[in-house]
Amino acid sequence: MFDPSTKILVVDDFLSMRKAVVNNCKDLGMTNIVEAADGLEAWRLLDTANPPYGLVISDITMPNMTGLQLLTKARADARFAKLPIMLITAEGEQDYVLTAAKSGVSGYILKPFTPEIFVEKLKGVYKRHFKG
Amino acid sequence: MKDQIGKGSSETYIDPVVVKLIMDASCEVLGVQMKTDVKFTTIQPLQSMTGGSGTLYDIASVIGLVGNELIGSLAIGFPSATFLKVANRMMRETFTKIDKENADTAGEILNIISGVVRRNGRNHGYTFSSAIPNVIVGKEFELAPGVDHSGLIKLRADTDVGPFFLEFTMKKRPSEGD
Repeated sequence: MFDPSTKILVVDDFLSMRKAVVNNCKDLGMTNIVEAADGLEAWRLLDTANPPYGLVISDITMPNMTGLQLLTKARADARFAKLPIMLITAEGEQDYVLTAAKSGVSGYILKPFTPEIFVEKLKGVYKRHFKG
Repeated sequence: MKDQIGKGSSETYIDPVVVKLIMDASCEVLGVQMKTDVKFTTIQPLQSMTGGSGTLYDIASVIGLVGNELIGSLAIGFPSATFLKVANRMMRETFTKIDKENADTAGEILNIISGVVRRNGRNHGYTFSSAIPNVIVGKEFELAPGVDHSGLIKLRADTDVGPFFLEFTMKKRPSEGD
């Protein structure tokens, strides 16, 4: 599983969902968390981060820059080609899932979700990225 | 409750499949994300009106429902006591009043409900566009359905943390040339 010291970026335009995700991460001992309210703000944080982020958890549907746009932009930048990025959405539409998969998403979680589902999805992302 | 769906004035159009999609989505969202069991106890078709629907809320969220078969809007409304307990469960924090730290929970609940409706609606031949919810915060306000509606329906849901309500209007989407 991700090391508790992992620097995490949580992105969602709804404060309530950001808090829910942050608290799920804190359950796992991960407290090095920064929040962004849309993809554009998230990109600015990614671009200038030092030390870099080790995990991004992002909603898809957001103003200014969607989660899919953020994913595409990150994967096009060599610095973030291998950055674990998990997308969260209520949509579940096949087109979104296919686009995300083609864009190199690390994992996908559908709303609504329990803390237990969140942990299992995060474990899956870790396993895919670090254990082949 | 099933018998009450589909009734109304001669101008109403209450699609029971869509009503069920909304009810099931609400149960799923509150049950999973907020660990709150939901039981719908009253379903009330409403007549066309220009005043409020008769139920008082302290917070509500409204979202458009635009689909291939029908158009309308969906609202969820809470008294503050129910809302704060639901918000506390979702965020696992302890809020004692509705404020900017928790108010968008109403919008996110409705956002997820509409997403689940869109997702499951496809299995029934319905496609809906995504929309952005608005949140209204006040003290004991009523929601008033807009003009040019066909079907109006209000549902009461009881939970272990108190009641909430869904109100929605819908009308058959005009076909091309209407």
